[in-house]
Amino acid sequence: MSIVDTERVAAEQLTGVERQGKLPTWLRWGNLKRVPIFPLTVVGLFVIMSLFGQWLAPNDPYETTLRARLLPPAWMEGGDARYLLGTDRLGRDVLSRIMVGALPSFKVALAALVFGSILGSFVGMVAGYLGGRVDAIIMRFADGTMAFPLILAALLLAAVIGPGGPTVVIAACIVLWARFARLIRSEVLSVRERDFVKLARIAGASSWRIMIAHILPNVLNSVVVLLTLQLGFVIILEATLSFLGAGIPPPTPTWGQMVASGRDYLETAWWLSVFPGLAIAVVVLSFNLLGDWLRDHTDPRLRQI
Amino acid sequence: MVVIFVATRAAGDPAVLNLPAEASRADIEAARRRIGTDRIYIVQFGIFLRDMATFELGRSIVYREPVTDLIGDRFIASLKLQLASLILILLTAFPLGVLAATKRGRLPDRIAQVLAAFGQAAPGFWVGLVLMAILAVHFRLLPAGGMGTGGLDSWRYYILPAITTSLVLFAGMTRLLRSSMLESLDAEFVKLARAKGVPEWKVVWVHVFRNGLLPVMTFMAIWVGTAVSGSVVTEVVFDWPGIGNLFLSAIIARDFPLIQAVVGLVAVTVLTANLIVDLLYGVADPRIRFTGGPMQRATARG
Repeated sequence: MSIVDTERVAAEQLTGVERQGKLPTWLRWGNLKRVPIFPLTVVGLFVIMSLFGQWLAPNDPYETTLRARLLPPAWMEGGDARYLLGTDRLGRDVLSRIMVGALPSFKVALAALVFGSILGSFVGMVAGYLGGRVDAIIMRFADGTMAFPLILAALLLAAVIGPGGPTVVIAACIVLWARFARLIRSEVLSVRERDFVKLARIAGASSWRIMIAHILPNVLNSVVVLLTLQLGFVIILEATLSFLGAGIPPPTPTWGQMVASGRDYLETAWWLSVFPGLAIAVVVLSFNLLGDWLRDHTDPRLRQI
Repeated sequence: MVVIFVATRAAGDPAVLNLPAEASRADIEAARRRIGTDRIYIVQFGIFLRDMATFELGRSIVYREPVTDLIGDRFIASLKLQLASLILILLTAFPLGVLAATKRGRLPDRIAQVLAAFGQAAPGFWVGLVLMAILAVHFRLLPAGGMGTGGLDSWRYYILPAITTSLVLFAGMTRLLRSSMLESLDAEFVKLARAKGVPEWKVVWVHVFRNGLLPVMTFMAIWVGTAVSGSVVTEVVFDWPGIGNLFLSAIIARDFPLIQAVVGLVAVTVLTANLIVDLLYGVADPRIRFTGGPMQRATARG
């Protein structure tokens, strides 16, 4: 498939020079049409909602209107056009709460990924570069942390330092560092043997310099791909912990919490649980698809992750 | 061990947490003496080590029963649920992964990929609730929670929790099996088998499937942890009387002996499962039977 594609793209680029004028290569239709539109749109919406949700929301997400309790979505019988996705048991607008609820997920995911990827990449690089016993010990440790049930560890953590954003971030990092370390280590193992590394060593560069200046730029691609793929994981983790009561505590609306609070109203008000959960699923799906696409287009060797 | 001890002691004093807010100092002191948190930490740690070594797991602070009694039944209940979901995965993910690989790019492949993508993206607790809302609450086909009486009729209680638990692993398994089968479909020994005139179904199920299974098995070890995490969520959603549910309530009540016992038990279970996977690996691939452990693949999705 990839061979055919490259040939076709090459042919298009050859013949399309005059037809498409002076557009830069990446803007030409042949390259643009394979960009995943749906995931990019959803991810864009998610970021906009996280950053500006509190101003874009049609209603105040915290305002309780007892007369408008448990209203169904606008298109159903008894629905109110002002509350597009209905209201919860305190009369708060579900849509507004979903929009505002994007921010905590976004913040937590970003923090976890920044810490997890930096720590994991560093550890993976050291393990891959030094090899030997250091490598063996670090990777055993990484395997061990990945094998232990994450939710159990996270709940334990929540009991120790209390539920909230930091708990979720640390819990995510427990797993993230190991995932990054494994990937980066295996990349470093192959980069390490390349000629430019040997030359740098002959030129007298220190281990640190080789790792930072020569190896790091060569594994950065993989880090970016894995970051995208893991974003969805962190969002799900945050939602799950919020659902179990170990995430960000109320009244800040988070998607996991909203699903949990709708649990008692499954029979009468299904929209309370369904829409926030749908938001999680669609956003995570988009990040996963985007990650898959990035991986296939930057480095097909990574297909196993 | 040290981690468990420090974590449980740092979590707050259960004597304070489990008494009503208006309890007097004397009440708190009495509760402390009963639990043992009145002694200094070094002594507590010594007692903790002794108890662990002798399997004397103590009594639950909340239930005031020996921990081992509390855990026994619940562990069996959790195992039953895991077994049900494992059977479900084997019945669905394996055929689907194989079908997707052999019909690559065509309709079955597309369906499998959409299902797998959905399974990886949708949070388990939400899928559980939606299933419950549709099948149990709206159509009243299946029970919404609990485990049944254990009689013949109780299989209906297993369906929804098993689907919920298996979803993530189903997705991962289908994807992985598909890609690893695609890899071995191109291998020389497959071409040879075809050239020899081996029927196609035999090529697929004997030659390719067996090789495609190896990366899947490497992952099973990691997935054991994921499965336990998933079962905590499922058990809470469906009110399943299992170990995950017990753990959550123990955490909320800071019930140290119970938390320690559950964490220890889970750790042992995960290790055992890993050992079993390692042994099965040798069965599936005779080439590595007498060499070291399973090869470590640079893989990162759990």
